[in-house]
Amino acid sequence: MIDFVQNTVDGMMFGSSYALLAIGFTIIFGVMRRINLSFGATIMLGAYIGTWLHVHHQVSVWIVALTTLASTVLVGIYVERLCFHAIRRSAVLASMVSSFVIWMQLEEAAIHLLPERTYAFPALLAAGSFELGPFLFRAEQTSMLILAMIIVGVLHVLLYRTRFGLALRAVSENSLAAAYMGINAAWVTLCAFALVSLMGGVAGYAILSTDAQITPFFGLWATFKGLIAMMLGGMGSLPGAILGGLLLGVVEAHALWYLGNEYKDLSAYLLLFGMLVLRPGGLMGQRILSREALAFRRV
Amino acid sequence: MLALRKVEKRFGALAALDRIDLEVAAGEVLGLIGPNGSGKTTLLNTVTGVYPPSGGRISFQGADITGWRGHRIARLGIARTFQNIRLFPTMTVFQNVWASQHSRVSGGLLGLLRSSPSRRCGDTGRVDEILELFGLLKDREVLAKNLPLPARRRLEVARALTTDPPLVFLDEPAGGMTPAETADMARLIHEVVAPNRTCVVIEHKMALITGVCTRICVLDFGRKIAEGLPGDVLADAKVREAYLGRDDAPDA
Amino acid sequence: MDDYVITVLSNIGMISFIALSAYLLLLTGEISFGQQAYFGLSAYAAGAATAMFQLPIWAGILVGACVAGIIAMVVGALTLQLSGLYFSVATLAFAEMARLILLIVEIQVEVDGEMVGPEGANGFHGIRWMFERDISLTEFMLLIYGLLALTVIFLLLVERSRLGSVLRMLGSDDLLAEMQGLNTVRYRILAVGAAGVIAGVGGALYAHFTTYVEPQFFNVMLGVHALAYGLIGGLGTAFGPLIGVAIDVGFLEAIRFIQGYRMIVFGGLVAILLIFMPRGILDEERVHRLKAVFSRRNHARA
Repeated sequence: MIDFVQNTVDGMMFGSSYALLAIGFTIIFGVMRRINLSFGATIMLGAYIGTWLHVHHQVSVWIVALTTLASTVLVGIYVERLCFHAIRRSAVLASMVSSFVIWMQLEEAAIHLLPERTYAFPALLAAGSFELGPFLFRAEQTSMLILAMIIVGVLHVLLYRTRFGLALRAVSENSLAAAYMGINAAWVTLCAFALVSLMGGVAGYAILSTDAQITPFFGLWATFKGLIAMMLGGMGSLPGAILGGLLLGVVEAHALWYLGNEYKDLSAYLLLFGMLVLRPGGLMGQRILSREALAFRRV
Repeated sequence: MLALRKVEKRFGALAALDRIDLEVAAGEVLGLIGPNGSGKTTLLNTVTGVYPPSGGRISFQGADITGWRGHRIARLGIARTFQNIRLFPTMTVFQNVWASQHSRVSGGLLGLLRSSPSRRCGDTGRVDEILELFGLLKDREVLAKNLPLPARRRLEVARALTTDPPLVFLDEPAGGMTPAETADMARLIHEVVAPNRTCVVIEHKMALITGVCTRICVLDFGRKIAEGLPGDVLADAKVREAYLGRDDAPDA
Repeated sequence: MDDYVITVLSNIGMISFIALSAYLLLLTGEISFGQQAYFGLSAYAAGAATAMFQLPIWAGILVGACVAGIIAMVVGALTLQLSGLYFSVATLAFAEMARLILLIVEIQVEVDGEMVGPEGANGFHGIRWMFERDISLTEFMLLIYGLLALTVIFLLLVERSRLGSVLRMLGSDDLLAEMQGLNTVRYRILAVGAAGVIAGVGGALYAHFTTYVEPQFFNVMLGVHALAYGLIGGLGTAFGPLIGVAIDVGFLEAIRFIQGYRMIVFGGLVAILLIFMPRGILDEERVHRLKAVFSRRNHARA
């Protein structure tokens, strides 16, 4: 029983990082109805630029953190301009494939920057742990959970209490109508992209400092974990992204403990496949795909 | 020919169709009118199997088709057009009509692989005939998305007729058209669509309804409020209220 | 031809199968991230048939293609309700499941005093049909291109036929297709199954060409590349994916001086291409215009 609770707690700690990645996907999907496959690679390259400064110029940890965030935003804007702004809205597939080839591009750029397989990633907080009753908490994971809660709180205020949030929600509901209302949809989309990249940068930094190392595979990992968590929770839903992330973390933690390492990812994909077959809308999504929706899709 | 018995369709708490009884007789041209949101298109979607009714029964030529999937209903002989025109945009005019004959030509997988237009299997002539009737033959090789609106509406009707259905539903065939174009569509319905088959026309333009329909049925809030000859129905107090009461009068 | 050129050409040929498989699904309007699963499952099944059970290669390819096709149809039936991104992610999830299961599976039998069979993460060694029969690389390449030509001819025939129109109808507007009397469920499962078979043929060939397969090769990168090839080459004709493969594997392999910067150049070029041609080089409209030009020429000649 103690194992079970401990695993669940660990899973939720780790799941909070998935949740942060999923939020990024869900916002981009909400605003653009398109998928940004290079989201993970964007964060990875941003973090690589920060690490490069650390490796070659021995800058302080704070500068690494700030550089990571700033360069993630810049790379995110590059992706938005090239793969989304420049391609017309209806060409969903073209945007997706374009963001995929740019992912490859970013990955190669990162490898040129730092050609070895892995690098130590400088963390803000020293690793440590504390005990609470019979349970063990790792300090950096706990801080990630807290960070995730702070980010979700800030995001909530931004989306529901500011004019920018209103504009963003309007564009995500109906971009054409929003445009007629005088909202500059292109600008809102760019801002949303920058915001999501910033958030991704924070999430990436937190995850990488927990791992204490960085590899080019981080891009693939972040993209797919975020995508899975978003789909589990329900596409386009903010609470869904959080729930999906936590669920994914908990399931992985249990699978790792009870079944072993080779079953960890397998169980995650099994969960996802089962969810899509049985309840395609995810935990929090509206019931999609019904014939009714299909009939009105082109109205 | 087509009979609806107490057909209901609910979306959540909203009753889009409320126990509709409707009989469509063979050979007639029935006009289905009603204010926006009165359930006309829902009725059409329910009959053609886009979604099953929540209650009641639908039968067509003696067969109970309640809850059937759309392709079976189409094969049985009910064709339709769409209010917001639906075509295959990257196919040519010819291909749109030709491919849509699917249900007329069966013959399993091999038949599917064999019948290609370049090999002149009998049905291409028929496609051209239909295109000719609708004045689309000169645009035969144009991609559907490049056609002007009236031609797209005509192509939709032409496509619906390729399966040679005994019953056709036309959902606002003159939507977005000028009076002259509407008159042209009315002529086509009268001369090409209506002979040899039964026809249900959903429309707001009274010029078209009074021009082609032999009978009218009026829906309001998912209920049938009137039914009868065009002159009688349009004079009906309830019908006038349904339209005028909500400042949504049909443009006569 | 030296071995290097033959290997590159063979790779182009084998990757073309999976690109064609993804393209067939794109025709029906669905984006699959999971065609690599059928490629991989078939590689294992075909390898098992020839290496473990000593069957001839044609039987191996047949077994691989059938296994891939049947599994694809089952997945297709399970994901029938899904479209768009939901379908894409479901196929991705299935493909990763298949890959992770192959990482665990260990079934080995003794053949000529040696243990042969899938060995979990170590892969599946000893698919030595080519060496046992003394088949040269060139001969095997001809086999690959022979089967590829058959597949392309089949797809071109499909495109000219009513079935091609049916698939495009399904992809363009499935509700309208259903309203015209099309059994959308049946054709979708048929298309998914056929796409599985095509990927499976490629996988079976791959297993015998490399003599060794490992699950890692069938990761999602292969699937997304397959998808990208169709989109780069164009969605208007079965030649589209082939052009895509040739551009990536062939053309860029040839330019040696960009080695190491290949993805930077390729990624940038493709991103720019997609801005101007969002449905690829040979999209439906361009194919339509090309056909018009050709038929006019034929008329003039006649």
